[in-house]
Amino acid sequence: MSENQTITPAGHNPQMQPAAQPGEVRQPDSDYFNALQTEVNDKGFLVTSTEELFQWARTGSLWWMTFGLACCAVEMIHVNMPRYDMERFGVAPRASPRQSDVMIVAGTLCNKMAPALRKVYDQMSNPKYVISMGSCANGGGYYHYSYSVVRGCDRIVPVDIYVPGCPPTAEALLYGVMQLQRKIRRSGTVER
Amino acid sequence: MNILGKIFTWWDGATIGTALFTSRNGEHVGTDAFGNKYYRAKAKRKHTPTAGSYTGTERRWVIYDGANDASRVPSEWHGWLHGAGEDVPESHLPPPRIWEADYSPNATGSAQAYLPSGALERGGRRARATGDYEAWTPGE
Repeated sequence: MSENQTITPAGHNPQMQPAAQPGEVRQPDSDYFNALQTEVNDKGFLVTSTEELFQWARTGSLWWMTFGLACCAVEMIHVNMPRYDMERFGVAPRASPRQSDVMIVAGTLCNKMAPALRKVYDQMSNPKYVISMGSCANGGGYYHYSYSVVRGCDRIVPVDIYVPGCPPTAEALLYGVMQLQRKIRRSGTVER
Repeated sequence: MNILGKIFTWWDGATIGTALFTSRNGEHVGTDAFGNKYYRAKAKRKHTPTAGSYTGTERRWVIYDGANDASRVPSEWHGWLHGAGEDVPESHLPPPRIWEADYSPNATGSAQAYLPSGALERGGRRARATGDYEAWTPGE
């Protein structure tokens, strides 16, 4: 490994990459780990930036704040039960916002609940992510024209991943969590 | 993917446990255009608790060639994975029509991702639509 070649996951710097072909799926981490292996083989020690290590750790321990508001919460529970078993990805429920990394907004967000949602989001420690789950959280859904419902939780908090569905299946939420992991691996630190 | 990556990551192909389970209990039935490999439980293990599915049907699974993204399974193999047909898709599906577009996985986050003209990533500017309104401010 030459000295001017740094360990950087492919996809970290999009300007350096050739344009993707239709249907191509970028694998952001293979180059990174190949470089890691070369580093170990050639030198016997590792020189890496802590940022990549942090990203790897973050994707493996996404503790989520339970914010079940409506029927979507049932599907959110299903994902944690043995059939889908979200904990195999390190995604574990936490009851305290101080200890959680990602908030899953599952269900209809009412005007009355909106200040509480924002307060819980503010209490979470950085880096924090938000998954908006279901039509109601995404954009009001069925209750879009109601007098008492927030038309999408992205009016209250910044959202990373939108999971469509009414309610989304447990598989869909699991896919959303995996997309969030991919997003963290791709974009690294959160700057909003 | 080298051995270090296999130990520490889980988002590319099979983990060590899955590869081991597949080599012992899996029977390779086909490969799709993306290189994903499809397996089912070996015949002699079909009725054992570990190799069967919850619903009593044949247990089928996929090992991705690359990123573990469920949208990389093309539609015909998606049907097979979910038990829509007894045999592999090539054996009973009609040949693809001339108007059928090729299957493409979810492009979100890649350079090919769809961004509408009003998206913030594309500047957030779009042509005026009839549904647009003029915001009222109380000061005027």
